[in-house]
This record gives sequence, structure tokens and C-alpha cells, in this order.
Amino acid sequence: MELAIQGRSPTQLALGRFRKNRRAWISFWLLLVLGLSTVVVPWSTSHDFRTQTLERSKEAPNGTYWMGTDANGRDLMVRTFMGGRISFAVGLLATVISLAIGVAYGAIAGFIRGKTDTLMMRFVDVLYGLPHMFLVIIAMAIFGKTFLLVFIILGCFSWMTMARIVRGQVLSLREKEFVEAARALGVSTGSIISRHMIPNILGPVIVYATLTVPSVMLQESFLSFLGLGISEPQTSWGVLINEGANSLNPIRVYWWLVVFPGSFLALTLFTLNSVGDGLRDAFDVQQR
Amino acid sequence: MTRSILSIACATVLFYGCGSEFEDPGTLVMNNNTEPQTLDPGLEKGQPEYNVTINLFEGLTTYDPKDLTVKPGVADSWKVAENGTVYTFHLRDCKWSNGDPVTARDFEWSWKRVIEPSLASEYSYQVFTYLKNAKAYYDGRSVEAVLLDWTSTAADKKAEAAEDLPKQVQARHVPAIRKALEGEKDPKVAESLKKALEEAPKRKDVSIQEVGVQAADDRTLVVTLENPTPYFLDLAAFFTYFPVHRATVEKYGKDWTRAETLVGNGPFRMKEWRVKQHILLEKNPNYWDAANVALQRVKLLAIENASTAFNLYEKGRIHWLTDVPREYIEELVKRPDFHSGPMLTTYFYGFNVTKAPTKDKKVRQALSRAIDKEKISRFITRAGEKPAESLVPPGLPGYTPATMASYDPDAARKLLAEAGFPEGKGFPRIEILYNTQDSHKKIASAIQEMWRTQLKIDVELRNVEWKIYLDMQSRLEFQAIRRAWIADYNDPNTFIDMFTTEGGNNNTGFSNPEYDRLVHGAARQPDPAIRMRMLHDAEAILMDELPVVPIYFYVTKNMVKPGVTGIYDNVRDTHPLNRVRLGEAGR
Amino acid sequence: MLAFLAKRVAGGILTLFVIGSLCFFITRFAPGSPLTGEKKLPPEVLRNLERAYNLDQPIVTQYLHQLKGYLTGDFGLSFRYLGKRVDELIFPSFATSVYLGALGFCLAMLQGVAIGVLAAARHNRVPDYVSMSFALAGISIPNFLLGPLLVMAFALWRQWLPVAGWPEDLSAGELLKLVLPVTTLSLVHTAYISRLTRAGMMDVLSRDYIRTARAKGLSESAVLLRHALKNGITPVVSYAGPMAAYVFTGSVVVEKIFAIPGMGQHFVDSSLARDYPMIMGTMLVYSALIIVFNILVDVAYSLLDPRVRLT
Repeated sequence: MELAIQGRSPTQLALGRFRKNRRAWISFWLLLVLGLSTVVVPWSTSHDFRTQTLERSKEAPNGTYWMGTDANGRDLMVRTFMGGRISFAVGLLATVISLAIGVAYGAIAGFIRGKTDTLMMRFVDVLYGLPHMFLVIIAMAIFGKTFLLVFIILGCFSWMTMARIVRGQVLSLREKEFVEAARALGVSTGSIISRHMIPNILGPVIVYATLTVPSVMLQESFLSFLGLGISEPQTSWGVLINEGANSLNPIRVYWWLVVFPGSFLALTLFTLNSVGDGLRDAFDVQQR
Repeated sequence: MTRSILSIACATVLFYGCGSEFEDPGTLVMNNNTEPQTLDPGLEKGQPEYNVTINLFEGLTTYDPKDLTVKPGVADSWKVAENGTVYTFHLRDCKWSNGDPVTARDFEWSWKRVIEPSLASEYSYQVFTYLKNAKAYYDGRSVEAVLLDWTSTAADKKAEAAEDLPKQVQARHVPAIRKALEGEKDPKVAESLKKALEEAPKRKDVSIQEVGVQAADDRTLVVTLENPTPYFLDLAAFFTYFPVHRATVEKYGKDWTRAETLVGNGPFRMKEWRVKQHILLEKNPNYWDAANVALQRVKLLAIENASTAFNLYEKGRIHWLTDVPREYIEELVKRPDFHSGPMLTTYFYGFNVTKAPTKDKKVRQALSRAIDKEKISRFITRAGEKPAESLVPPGLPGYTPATMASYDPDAARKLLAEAGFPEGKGFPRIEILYNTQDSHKKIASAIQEMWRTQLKIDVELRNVEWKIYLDMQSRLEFQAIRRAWIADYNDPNTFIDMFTTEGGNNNTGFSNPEYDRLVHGAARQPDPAIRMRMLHDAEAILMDELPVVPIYFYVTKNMVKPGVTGIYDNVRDTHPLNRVRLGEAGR
Repeated sequence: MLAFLAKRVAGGILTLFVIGSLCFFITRFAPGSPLTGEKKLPPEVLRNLERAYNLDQPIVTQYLHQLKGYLTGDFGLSFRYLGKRVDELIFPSFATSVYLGALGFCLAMLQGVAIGVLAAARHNRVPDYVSMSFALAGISIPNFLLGPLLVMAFALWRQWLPVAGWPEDLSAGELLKLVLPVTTLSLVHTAYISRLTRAGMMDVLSRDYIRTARAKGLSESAVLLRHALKNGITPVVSYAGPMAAYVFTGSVVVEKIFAIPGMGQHFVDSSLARDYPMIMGTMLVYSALIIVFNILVDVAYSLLDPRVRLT
């Protein structure tokens, strides 16, 4: 006799729950569309993101330039989408780095406690205290100005708060009965951390990860602003919004400079967070 | 929730009730753009500092606020003799802000103070370059200081210092050099020390008495210059030549510039100094021309964000802006309260003359002639700047600038082909280096695009922060670099002597013996017409070789509330406040 | 508790020493010098300047000299603001940043926790969606955009509030200068905190002991505030440490937009100008603040969850 019912793994169950969450599901597809559009739109438009028509700088949206032009007479639409590429890349990659380092570090520190924990957290304190800008300056001077370096640097700055949050969660969880039970059963520390603790701390971690992406995107614009990030004619949403914000004035409102890149950034962050929420709800082992 | 609504409501009512536009009518409020680094005239080096000290101190001469011509200051008359090397100044009867009389001895002491190496004044060269024996005195004292600290100095610094020693030593340094040589282990340093030991006895000692400034009596100052310097009277009004009150400086040391202790001889005195907030000045009743000073008080703010300052100006909290936000300047230019005039400052790009591809003159000419400066001034800078075809801005009396060949993309392409890169093929990728600032970015971006479309070459932009920019500039780590130069005084020499072979501000690797000959010759030339001719010929060489390509000449950008009078546009954007009146704006 | 505090304070001082020393060497090895300027100096002048600032001495000598100074309470003179002492430059700006930061912190915590609790309690219903959307908006608008927008809306277009500045006295007109900068500063943190609170609270609300409390007949607000909140805000407490330090040392952007003389500007400006003594000063103040807050956070953990033992 064949088995009519097939068992499903916890992951599949979770994904099923995710699909049922309408807001998260729609946001997921919206996010995908946004990401793809940053790749597709610049290919399909006739405007090049570098071409400057100085006579037509700072024009409001019109027939030729659907989103208007910037101060150097470049088409804002293609630049917004090109900027999206950079922002997406930076946001995702740096967050992945930050997650990897932060979760591992925080879990270990929180679980082992004692001297190891103290030392590890002191190390984090020291890293926090160092002048980040200087470290960036030195890194740039030594390694030259490569794109990859920007991701790594940004990832390196975000993992510390992640580690603190994870440590905090682990500190609480550690005292729980199921941990005592696992210990009694002789499960190794490494196993306890990876198979028992980490799934339980996923909630706030996912939420914080989705909070890290925007933070990283904005930090990137701050770095570029200081001359330590991407350089012209490349651009990112953060840089575009910065330029737009600086042009705000009470006399003539160059609204398109702010509204378009700003809306795209906001929409991306909104969908990212919805997806993050959905994932958290879906994987939450206790919420039934 | 209700409570917070209630409190906001109360606050709003109170605000409407007790807000007045100005805290204090009779006070001129202006924005100084940034916190001054110091108010000691011997140490200051920039415009924000000068905007304050010009009102706290007064030199032998001053500038007319309208056209910057030299006017009597503390000195009411002077005589020039010996072919322009001896100036005798007669001082008027005037006082310091604490009542002490201003004497010629004050000037003598102040100028000699600046050339003491221990003061560590960056602008000391502004004095020792011109006064007789001053450089020799400065060098001698520097050598003493070096040898005194010899054992505790780091090895690399010792090597640097030792290199210059032979050029600077004087007879009295022999024992000290011998002592330094005794313990010296590094062979190269020992070599330099031995050379210095040889040179020392050949040069006589220069004491402070031999430096070319002497107070003949309380009201007569005799100044002896190293060379005839036609713009010396201009220099005498420069901040490094301001007098300082000896007793105050000696009593309080580094701290003497506090509001409670600062003593000056200018039209205003300092009432309050809150760092990064404001400096409050009030009228100095002891100033010799106090009767003609209309302002009672001046408040200088230190707001760095141009938009914030502009917003405050719009709301009436600031009367006078000396800089405006660039992002919407095209709107501000149309307004009647916007004032602008030509300025003796040039924005230009420098090329690295020591490395390919910019080593080739044709390449530099091609790059230069492919820049549409007209478009840049009209659509990017937008404040009425004039495109620059020469390094020296026009308008200096007696001088005609030499110009470069005009914008011509076809000619540029031809030149590039002649240099071996037809259609840009094979042209290596070059970088434009600039210090991080939005306006530089826009211009660099435009030029990058112009070179790309007109010459078909690959150009990258690199922006770095200020200190790194300065480092890279002096090490010639660039192919093209954004630069600017503000005139120190109203004479073409301030622009032209930059590019001599040993010029400290050359930073391009440009070295042309004919150019050097002309510039050095001009410095010694007593006939003004011939001198101007020589400078013109030098500039012509520069505009042909193009180690630098001028882009535009700056304009001053001031916004002043209607009713405020006495502020004029002048080529160095220098605004003494003696004749400023607040008028209706103060009510 | 006392032993714990003593241990942490001692550890904190050691950490500060390590940070200070690392900072010293890093700043001196970074490219760029405090003495370079637009106009190049003749080498003799440059050398005299180096001597005046002790920069010609071997680096270890400079380090020891600085260390001696710090131990005797002399934090040195700024390289940039000539004649001014580091402490007299930093401490007034620090005070300003603390006031601004305290207001921002309290506002963000109160609003954030309140919104988060509300959202968790009305999970997946209208108040949840509304407040979380508002939170998302807060995170999505960078403060260098929010600031100018608020200024345009409330100070220029509708002239209800002052454009910029820091209160010079305690009159109502002056105190209104605080509204926009504090709002700008705290909004993003309100958003973060509300989301973290919601996540934490939702975790807690699904636990057994909450079900027990409800079964016992306790009112919803008692359940929320007296039982759930203590455990629900652990992620917020972790976040509060670094957040507080960030908020207190002044967001550079907010200071620049509203012309507030806080410490954030000194931070950035001294780094860019290579003003070594000021960099050291600001770094140490910043680090000391973070250490203090982290100690407070750990104490808070133990107070909230008695099972967490203070090591």
C-alpha cells in the first residue's frame, strides 16, 4: 500500500506558512521585481546614465526625461535604477557578512559566558571605541579603492550590534529547561548552540537583519559622501537622496530629485521588512 | 497623549507671544561659515579668522572697503627711499582697547615675534621673505632649535633636518654642530653635519637687531626690505603684520585671545566667544576713528551648512551671508539682495608633467582645449563666474594676462592624434583627483564626460578627503587634479611665482628655466612696466605649456538684507566693518 | 552587585586604555598630517611646526608624553583650534550632545516601546499594521532627508518652529529650537525600537506563563505591562546600549542641519583635520560612554530576568 500522505520537513512547513502570509508574499514578489528592474530598465532605456546634457540640468519630469534630470543634466530615471543596483548589492552582501560574523560570535559569547564571554565582549567594546572613519581611511589607503572593500567594511561595522543582540538572547535562553535537558542528555556545546539555540533566536535576529540592510545602505551613502565609497559616475540611492536633500530650498522645489530615489528606497525597505516579518512569523517554533 | 497635545499648544501660543525677529536691534548678525582656528594675528591663516581679526586689530595700512586700495591705518603717512627698499612710517596718536598708547615699538615687537621659530607661525614666511635679514635670522634660530633637540628627535626627522642645515648655519652654531656630530651614528646624517660644520664659520651671525624693522622712536617705524617690493604697502595691511599688545601676550601666553583678556587696536573689541556658536564684538571706544564707526555690536555665527544659514537669513535671523548654497544658486542670483563681483581667485586643473600621458605637451593641450568652460560656468557654477582663459584674473592694474588657445574640440582631437592617440585609441585611463565637495564633483563629472565624448578617452573620478588630497597633491600622485588659488595680494606675482621650479606650491612637476629666469628677474626689477612685461611673458609660457588649465574665475557671493549699507564687492571679498551701518534692518 | 560593578568598572578602565593606545597609533599611521594646508609651507617652517607639536620625536616618546598627560589630567592642546585645551573644547559640546541625546533617547524609548506593545497586543489587526507601517516609514527616510523636510514644512512653509540653533536660555522661544532636531534624531530609533519591542513581545506573549496569567483572570494591561514587558524588551535593552551612545554623542547630520554645537561635529572634523589630541579626546569620551551604557544594559538584563546571573 502506498503512503497517501507525504511528510514534510519543518522548512517546508515554514515556507508554506510564509506563502499564506499575504503581505509578506506580495512583498517578496515586489522585492524581486524591484531588484530585477534595476538590472533590466537601464538596458532598455535610450538614455545612458553618464550622458550629460548640461543645458537641460535640473529639469522637472517631461516627455524626454520621465523622471527629470539631475544637476549635471543626466536622466534621473536611469540613474535611479543604476543606483538601485549598487544599493541592493551593498545592502545584501554587507548584511550577509554581518550576519555570519555576528550570530556566530554572539552565540558563542552568550553561551559560554564566564571569562571567554567577558573577553569577547571587551573586544567588541574596543572595536566600537576605535575611530571607524580612520580605519576606513587606512583600509582604503592600503588596499586601494575597490568595490569589494566597501562591502567588507560595512559588514564589519554592523556585526557588533548583531553580536550583542544575539548574546543577549542566548543569555536568556540558556537558562531554559530545554537547554538543561539537552545537557543532561549529553549533547555537545557546539550542537546545543547550533541546533537548539540558534533556531530560537532567529526571531529578533531576522528582524534586526532586515533593519541592518537599510542601515548599511545609508552608511554607504555617508561613506561616499566623505569620499570613501563609490565614485562618479556610479551612484546609489543614498547618494541620490543626499544630493536631492541638499537641493531642498524654500524658493524652487526640485521635488523629483528627492521623490524618485526616496520612494524607491522606501519601497525596497518596506518590502524587505515585510519579508523579514513574514519569515520570522513563519519560522517561529513557538507561535502556533 | 492629551498632555502632550496640550503642552505643544501652550508652547505655540507662547512662541507667537514672545518671539521677536532679533534678540537685539543694533547688532549686525553675520555668518562666518566656520569656527575660527585662532584669533592671534601671528598665527592665523584663513578667511574665517581674518573676518574677525580685521575688526579687532589694525595694521600700519588698511584697505579701502570699496576697491582695496591702500589707505593709512595706524600709520598716517610714510616715505619710501633707496629705490623702494626703505620705508619710514609715521604713526598717528592712537590707543589699544585698554587705553595704552600704540607705539612703533609695538609693531617692531610684533613683527619680530612672528619670525621666532618657537611661535610656530605658518605665515612667518610672509614676513621673513620681505624684511632684510629676516630669513637669515629665522634660519639661524631654526638651526639652534634643531641642534638643541638633536638627541630626542626621531631618526627620519633628523635626516630631513640635517639636509637643510648646511644652507642655514651661522658662525655661532659650530660648537653645537660638533656636539651633535659626536653621537651621530647614521653615516648620511653625519655627512650632512660635516658639511654644515664646514659652512658655519663662513656665514656671519644675524642677530635680532639686524632684522629690517626698527622703532626709531615711539611714533616712527623704519622698515628695510631685502628687495624692492612694489606691493609692500599692501602687505603691511595683511594680518600677519598686525600689531599685538606685548604685555597681554607675555602675561597670558597661548591663552591671550580669550574675550576677557584680548587687547586689540581695531574698531571693535571682543565681548564674548562661544566656540562653535558665536563671537560677539562691540564697538571699541578707544579706536582712533571711533566717531565714524556706526555699528554698536557684531555677532559672527559659525554655521557650516550653507542651507541652514540661508534658511536663517530668510527668516530674518541673519543680516549678511558671505557664502550661499550652491545647489540652488541660480534662484538666488536673481534676487536684489544678492551681490556679486569678480574675485582674484582662479579655479583650475593641474596636470602631472612628470608622467605619461600628461608628460606630453600636446596631450595637455588636447585635454585643455576639449573643456567647454562656457558651459561649466553657465550650467554648473551658475553664479555669473567668467570662464578663464588665463591663470591671472583680469583687472589687476598695469597687467594684461596672457591667454591660452580657446575651446576647440576639433583642434583638441587633432592634437591628441598628433600625440599618438588618434580617436583616443591607446590612451591610458587617467584619473581626475579632487577633494570631496559637491561642487567639485559636478565640475569633475562634467569634464570627465566632455573628455569622454569629445576625445573618446576613458577617465575616472577619484575623490578623497582633504588631508589625503593634500598629500597626493604634493607627492604628484595624480594625472589631473582640481585646484584653486586665492591671491595673497593684488599683484600677478602671487599667481605666477607658484610655478617656478622650486616653487612650493607648484605641485605639477613643471620646470622651465626661461620661466624661472623671468619670474626671478621680475622680483628684482625696479621698473614697474618692465616688471609687468616679464610677468606677462612668463604667463605666456605657462599658457602654452599648460601644466595647468584655468577653468573659471570666482565671484564673490554675498547676500545682504536691504537697509544694511557699507558692504561692497571687492576682489578679495575682504570686508572691514568700520563703515557698515545697520539701518532699517536693525529694527 | 557591588562586586560586579567594581569588576566591570575596572574592566572598563582597562578597555579605555587599550582603545586609547590603539587609537594613538592608528591615527599616527594613517596617511595625512595635521600640518599640511592649501599653501605649502617652506620646509624650515614646517619643521618648526613639527617641533612645536612634538611630532618630530620618535613615536614611542610621543605616546609616553601623551600618556603622562592623561594620567595627570592634562588632555593636551588642540592642533586645530590653537591655544585651546581639548577638555575645554569637548566638554561643553559633550554637555550639549547629552541634553540632545537624553531627549532623543527618552522620546524614542517611550514612543517605541508604547507602539511596539500596542502592535504586539493587537497583532495582525489594524493598529499593528498602522504602527508598523509608520515604523517602516521612519526607517526608510534617512535623517539627512527627514531633517530638511521637517524644516521646510514646519519652519519655512508654516513658520511654527525655529529653523535652527541651540537654546541660549530657557525661554519658551528658545526651547522650541529643540523640537525639530529631537524629532529628526529620535524618529529612526523609535521605529527600530517599536519593531524590536513588537518582536520581543510577540515571542513572550505566546509563552505558557502568559496563558496562565490570562487564565487567572488578570486584565490585559496587567498581563502586558506587568508580566510580558519585562521579558519582551530584552532585545530592546541590547539595542539600547549602542543606540544611547550613538544618540548621545550626537548625530553629525542632525548637528550640521540644525547648527547644534555638539560633539558629533568634533568627531568628524578632528578626524578630517588630523587633530590628534582632539581625536583621542572624542574617542575616549565616546568609548567611555559606550562602556557605561553596556554596564547599565547588563544590569538591566539581570533586573528584568532574575534567572540571568551577573558574572
